[in-house]
Amino acid sequence: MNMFSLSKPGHALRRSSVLSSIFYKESIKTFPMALGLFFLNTCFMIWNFVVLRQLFILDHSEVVWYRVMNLGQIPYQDLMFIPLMSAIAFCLFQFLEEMRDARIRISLHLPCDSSSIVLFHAFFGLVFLSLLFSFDIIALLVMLRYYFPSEICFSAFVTTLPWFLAGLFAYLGGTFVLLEPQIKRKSLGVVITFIICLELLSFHSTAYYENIIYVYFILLPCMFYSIAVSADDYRNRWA
Amino acid sequence: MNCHPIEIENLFHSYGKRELYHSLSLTIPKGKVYALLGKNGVGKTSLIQILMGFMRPNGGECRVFGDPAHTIRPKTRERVGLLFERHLAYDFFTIEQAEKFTRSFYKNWKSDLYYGLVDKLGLPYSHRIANMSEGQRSQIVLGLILAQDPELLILDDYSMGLDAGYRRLFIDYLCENLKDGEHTVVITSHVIQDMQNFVDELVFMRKDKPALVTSLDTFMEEFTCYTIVFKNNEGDIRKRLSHMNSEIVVNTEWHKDYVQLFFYASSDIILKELQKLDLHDFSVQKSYMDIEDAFIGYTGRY
Repeated sequence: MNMFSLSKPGHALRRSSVLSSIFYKESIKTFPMALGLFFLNTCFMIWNFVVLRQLFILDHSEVVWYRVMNLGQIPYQDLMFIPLMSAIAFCLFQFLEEMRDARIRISLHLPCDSSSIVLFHAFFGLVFLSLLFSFDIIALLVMLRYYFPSEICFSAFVTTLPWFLAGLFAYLGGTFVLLEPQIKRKSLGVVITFIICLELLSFHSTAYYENIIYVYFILLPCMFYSIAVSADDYRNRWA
Repeated sequence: MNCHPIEIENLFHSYGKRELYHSLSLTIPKGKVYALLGKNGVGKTSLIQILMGFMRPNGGECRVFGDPAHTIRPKTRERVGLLFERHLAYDFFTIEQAEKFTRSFYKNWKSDLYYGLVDKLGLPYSHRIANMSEGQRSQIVLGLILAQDPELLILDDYSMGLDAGYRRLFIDYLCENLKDGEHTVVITSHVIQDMQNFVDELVFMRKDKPALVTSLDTFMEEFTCYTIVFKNNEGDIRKRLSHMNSEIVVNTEWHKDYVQLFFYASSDIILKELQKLDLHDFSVQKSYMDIEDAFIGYTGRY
């Protein structure tokens, strides 16, 4: 497989132009879904703030602090599945459109390396989801900082990071599964994605992943490049 | 090195037990317009999928401008304009956005060809493709392909979903822009009569039979239909026809009161064959055929 194989010097500029063209197309295609997800995530964070505020109204601050800092309760636990659901929704919206009547062939026929084209599509999704998740994280941290000390904010950041990572893995796994034509590889993709997401979303304790989270950051590029394999399989499938 | 736009050598392909191509060989030279003809399911679209590298054949070789079909280089793809079945397009784009997106990939992009065709639709450039009729969308897709200025155009069932007016507009635009000896066109369609003034060569694909490659002129000259009216003597005529040389009779179509015999041979040979049948007590007439009659005569009605 020849990933990013635009090797001639004259093609260096071309790659950035291809990337910007794919981003142009994807931004138009996914705009309604992107807008919807930002809206829903904003609504959820506002609701989360209201719930948090209610905790302090119903109980004394000392009691809430005790629960959070000593008992390890997390007042933002409802956030856990939001990144996963957002990522799956975005992945389906972005790639089902391409798979409808095999429209992706239009992109694959463009005069560029096929793997790069598909990877640029996935990269767009990753960029969007990273922005969405950054918004969620910032909103969460601002909200928590309003009521708690910075240590709790840091702990919340480390606790929620695996949830957001699960979203990114679900997006990449979903993309792989949608593009891959071979049933065996498709199934393998489902299983691997499921196991990774399950592990990341199994709540152990606050900041449980603090020391091992880097392993998942190493896995993420591997998952990303596996999409190039599915693109290659798609092009060279047997009828 | 100057390679032919398309070269197919000993192509084998099957879907399970159903064999689609058995040692199909075909060379499409520069500047010609080829029509791939055949009934549904004979493998026209599959052949295009194989040629464009969206499907691997079981055997044989396909080359596009010298590149193996499943590893066509981006540089070669730039030389090939491809119209997918049902005028596939990214329908979330507006007219303007579709042009802006596609033009960034082609260095010889000709916007005037695109907008020349689009302007005929009388739609604002902000009109979304999703809100267009099939005919309007076909013009957008054709405009995008022509603006690429490709050397080879592959048009898979361009006529699907188009009314007579749009089909004529489509073919007229192709004739005006592509019949210059520089462009090579491979076209498939179920509406055969539109092709009469456009194609040079025909490739007939038939189930379980070798493909026939011939020029349109030769085919229309040598493919002949004779009608024998039998009224109440069907049994007699069936008996006589059973002695005919099956090599020159391509197809026999039985109707209520008459039978049509389709021959692919010179008129001398056909007349000799008819004389052998001793048909003097029947009405035998050579029938006029347009391209669609000839197509149906050659491939059969069902």
